[in-house]
Amino acid sequence: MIWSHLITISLVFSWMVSPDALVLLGNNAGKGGLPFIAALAIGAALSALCANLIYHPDATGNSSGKTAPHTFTIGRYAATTITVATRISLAVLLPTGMLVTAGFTFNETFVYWFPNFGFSFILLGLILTLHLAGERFAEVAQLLFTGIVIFCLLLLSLAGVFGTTSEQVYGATFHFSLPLPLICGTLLLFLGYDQPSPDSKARRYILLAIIGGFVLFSLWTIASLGHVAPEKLASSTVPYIISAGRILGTPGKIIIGIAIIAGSCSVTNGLFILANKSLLQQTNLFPSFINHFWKKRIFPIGFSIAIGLSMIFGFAGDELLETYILGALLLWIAAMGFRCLAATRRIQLTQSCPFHYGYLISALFFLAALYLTVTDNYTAQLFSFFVLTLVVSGIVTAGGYLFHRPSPP
Amino acid sequence: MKKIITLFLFCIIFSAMPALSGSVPTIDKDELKALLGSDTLVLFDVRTGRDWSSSGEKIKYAIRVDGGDLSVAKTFPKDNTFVLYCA
Repeated sequence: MIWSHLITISLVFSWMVSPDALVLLGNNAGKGGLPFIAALAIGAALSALCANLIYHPDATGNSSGKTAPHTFTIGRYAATTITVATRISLAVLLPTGMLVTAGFTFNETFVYWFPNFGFSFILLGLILTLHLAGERFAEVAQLLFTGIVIFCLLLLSLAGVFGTTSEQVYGATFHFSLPLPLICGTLLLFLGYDQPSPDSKARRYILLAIIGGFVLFSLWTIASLGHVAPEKLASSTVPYIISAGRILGTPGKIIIGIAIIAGSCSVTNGLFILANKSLLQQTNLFPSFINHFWKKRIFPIGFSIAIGLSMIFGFAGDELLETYILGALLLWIAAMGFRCLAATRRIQLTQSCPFHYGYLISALFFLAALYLTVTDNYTAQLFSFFVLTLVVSGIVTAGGYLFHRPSPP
Repeated sequence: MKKIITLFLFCIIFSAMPALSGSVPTIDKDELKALLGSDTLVLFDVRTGRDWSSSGEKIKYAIRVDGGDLSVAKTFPKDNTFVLYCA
């Protein structure tokens, strides 16, 4: 039982400990300074409230386990479309970028002569092998990957917080503020608490993971700001390497190198698991000739092929990938809004209160996604991405319904 | 059989394209190190997207050229030494 909860926690951490989350954290810590920890607390609190609703016993009680969790709000077809769009875009786009990051980290930190893309493909092959071997192998590996990153970050953070600080302590000359994008951006950092089949028994462990994430992020923020000038953190594309290097020198760079590689594996493996579990629940998507063995493996194989082709054809070197990664994350926030709304409506069936705070939380998630979209430099591309992803997912879902008429809910 | 031969020839020509594209002089990292600090050296970092952003190795004072637009080179005297690095 404890084992399964540990795996749940490690899945919640899968994106939180990824290299891109650390870049977002480092950049925002540089922009906000120490007050950024207050923004982190707001993001963690909103995420915890959202998770608390999704895993509320009254919200999960009637779940059949075979329908998308937000079916109750927007209907089965729309809910399945959103699930397909969110999970597939996350499972393909984020690993494409972060496996490449792992390749560069390995090349620049450990073995200079080893081709970076070669290492990215080795990691992709390793994760695919885990999924082909079976779900249990992938879940145990997830625990290992996440554990390594948390250990490395804690080690560096504690060394940074309790060790000697260098000349730029907390960047006294830098102007600090907590603008709205910074607060909205923290919602991105805590994503991952939406398990495919929410179980109210897992609620306390999900909340524990969010609180753990907040503590880890806060420690890393304090350690980074104690050793690196905020303006440097804010503008760097690899703030974690700068922080680790300043905290522990070359050993720090090696430790963060291990964390980045493990974090890339964590996000790839974790998103594969979450996507696979979510999509397996959509039984209408599968042609009847696919047997149970292949049903469990077809998505990881498909994701791996898509990621491999993206890397081969240079998509990782394209700026568009970064926009699409942000788009996938914003879709994730919006999906959280839908799930929160669905959970609130379910809870209201058993509780007769006229207004529930869940409506406010879901509205905040929608508004945060919208705000981050319209304030981005690539708003048009983001909207195109949303439309394209939802239309393709809608066609796939409709195709599945053509062959397998869904049973009444 | 014809198809196989055609495909084989295509592969040969495709793989030989870099060699056929003309002679662009290259330098190794030691030669570049010796040039660093020179007033006539103009260094362009032509890595794009994550190739650039994920890398912790960025040469100081290198001009980042994104999207292959090298028009900025026109602003420098022609007799300068232009070096492009991509990895």
